[in-house]
Amino acid sequence: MSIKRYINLMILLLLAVFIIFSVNGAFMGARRAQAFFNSIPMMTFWGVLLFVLIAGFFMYASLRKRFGLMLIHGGCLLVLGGGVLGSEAGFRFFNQLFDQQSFTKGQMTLHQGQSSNRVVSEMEDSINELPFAVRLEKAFVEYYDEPAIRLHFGDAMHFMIPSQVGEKIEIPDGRGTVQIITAYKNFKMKQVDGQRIPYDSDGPESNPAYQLTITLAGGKPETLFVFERFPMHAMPGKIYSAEYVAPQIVKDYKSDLQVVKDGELVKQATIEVNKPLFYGGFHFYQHTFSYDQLGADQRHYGGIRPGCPACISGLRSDFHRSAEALLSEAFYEKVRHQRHERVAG
Amino acid sequence: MIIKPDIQGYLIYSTMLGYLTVLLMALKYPKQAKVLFVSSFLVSSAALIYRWSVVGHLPMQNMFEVFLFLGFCIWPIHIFSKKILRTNHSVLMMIDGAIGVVVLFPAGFIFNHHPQFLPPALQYWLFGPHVAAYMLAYIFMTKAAVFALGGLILSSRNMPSNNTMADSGYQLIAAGFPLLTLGLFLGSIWGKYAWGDWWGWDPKELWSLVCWLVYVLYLHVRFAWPRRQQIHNVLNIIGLVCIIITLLWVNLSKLFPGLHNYTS
Ligand code: HEM
Repeated sequence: MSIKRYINLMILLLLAVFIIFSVNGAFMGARRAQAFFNSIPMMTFWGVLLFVLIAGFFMYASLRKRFGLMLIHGGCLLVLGGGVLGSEAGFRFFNQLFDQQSFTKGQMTLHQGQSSNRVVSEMEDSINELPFAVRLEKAFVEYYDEPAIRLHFGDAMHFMIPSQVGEKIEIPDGRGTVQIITAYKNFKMKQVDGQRIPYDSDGPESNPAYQLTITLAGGKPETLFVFERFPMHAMPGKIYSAEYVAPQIVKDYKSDLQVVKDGELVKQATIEVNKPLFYGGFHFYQHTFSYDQLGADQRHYGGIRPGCPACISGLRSDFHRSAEALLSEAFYEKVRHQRHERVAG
Repeated sequence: MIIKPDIQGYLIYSTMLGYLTVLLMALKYPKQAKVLFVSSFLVSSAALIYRWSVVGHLPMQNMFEVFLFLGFCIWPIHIFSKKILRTNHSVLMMIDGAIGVVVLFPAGFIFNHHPQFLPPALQYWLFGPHVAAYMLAYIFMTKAAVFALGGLILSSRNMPSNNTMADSGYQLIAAGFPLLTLGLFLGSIWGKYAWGDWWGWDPKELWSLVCWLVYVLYLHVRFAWPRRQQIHNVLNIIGLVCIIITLLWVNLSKLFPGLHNYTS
């Protein structure tokens, strides 16, 4: 009887200590808390907790007989046990035991059109190779809001219009009209009979642009282009300029992925946040997204490769046959590819 | 203080007024209070549905919506508690009316209600059930703490009903604890899909773990020392304090500079 009293007190003590550790961890911030809970001294704590939980099943008949109690304690046992085995320390242990190279998490950075089977493991900073390659077909962002175009006039007046091809819009104060003539998803120039002609390419890159016609009161129609990726130019001799106001409220980041094994396409999927691709024991998560740095040749629109590299993090665990990956805080930051100040709205 | 002079605001304020009147009328006019309670619930449902139609997604994304939803949970949980508790119905209506006013106050007067777009990480079907399980659990735990406080006050005045107070507190925690566990469980499944990990050790997660552990401790203290009702009551109240910290952590954490928190 008295041994049960000690176990009871032991349970209370363990729970109280766990609470104190957790409050302490909450003040450390995620990174340090993770290191703390995975440290060697903490392993002792997890071990004792597991041991007492298992001992409880032998000591207390009610834990075996009452279904609800069995469920909650069995569940705790599974979560704790799984947590220990699936931790980095657990992986290291089994790697040594079975002389293998499993890892818990890792990261791949792919540019559009690129494929790779190399994963940078978070655990050992080592590079691991997957038994298949992942190819990034296309990476893209979807927005809730639409792009817009803002006209600036010399006297600091500015005016926004929605980015829809269509009717002439009056500029306030009777300054004239503006009209969007063409929308380009992937603006390129080609030479036809010695003339440079803009066209919409169906290549995988993207280079959003609009062609406008602006007619100042009493003037002739004039053509100009605005580009998402290129800042507004001051146009010599003009009293106005126009800029592309990129959409800002991200709805989703997506990547079209292909899994290639032995030269054959074995799986194809579009991943997005909350929707990883699962193949061969690994999950591949949409992790970050960014645009390539623009080259020095900004002036040659046709020559630019605004490729969208997407970074996917994939994981491998030979041991569990399921993989984990990570999505960092960076993800919550808005993708900043527009260089212009933007007025909300 | 933000007053909301629009449909959303009026719906919230009339629900609060309804709950307040329930609180005041419950002892003398229990029948009328009962009808008024149901009507206030209908108004709070209207407030929730209106918000849903404005934002176009399940309204549980930010603090305003969370408190709005808490206000909506009051009556359903009242009906459930009436079934499991032996407490006098009028007293239960008073307690629930009071909790209703308190949880709707932040929605009515503190947090702003600018509609927001759902960011990518929240677009997952478990998001709704995860938050809903927590909100239901929170209402149960709040009510449990009210009974615990009642027990402490009564026993400090040497009044006898302490027993039933601590008992009601336990009944409510026994109902709320599985929901709390469910919330934690669904959250970790969602975490697996959103960041690829079941558990991330970030402050908000750790606080929700602390809440859960305090109730686990409560249950085991109750098993180890069945008669120490004062200790049960104190732990019960500590549980609610932890819930409040968890719920407001993103806001509170600004008091502790240097903490990183991606939910902010
Ligand atoms: C550390 C090892 C643990 C041991 C040895 C243990 C043992 C026990 C025992 C002996 C009981 C009383 C059963 C009865 O009423 O006859 C109990 C109750 C309970 N335990 Fe644990 N427990 C442990 C940890 C946990 C944990 C981590 C949880 C987390 C959920 C938990 C949840 C519960 C619940 C919900 C009850 C029911 C209390 C009630 O019905 O009043 N236990 N436990």
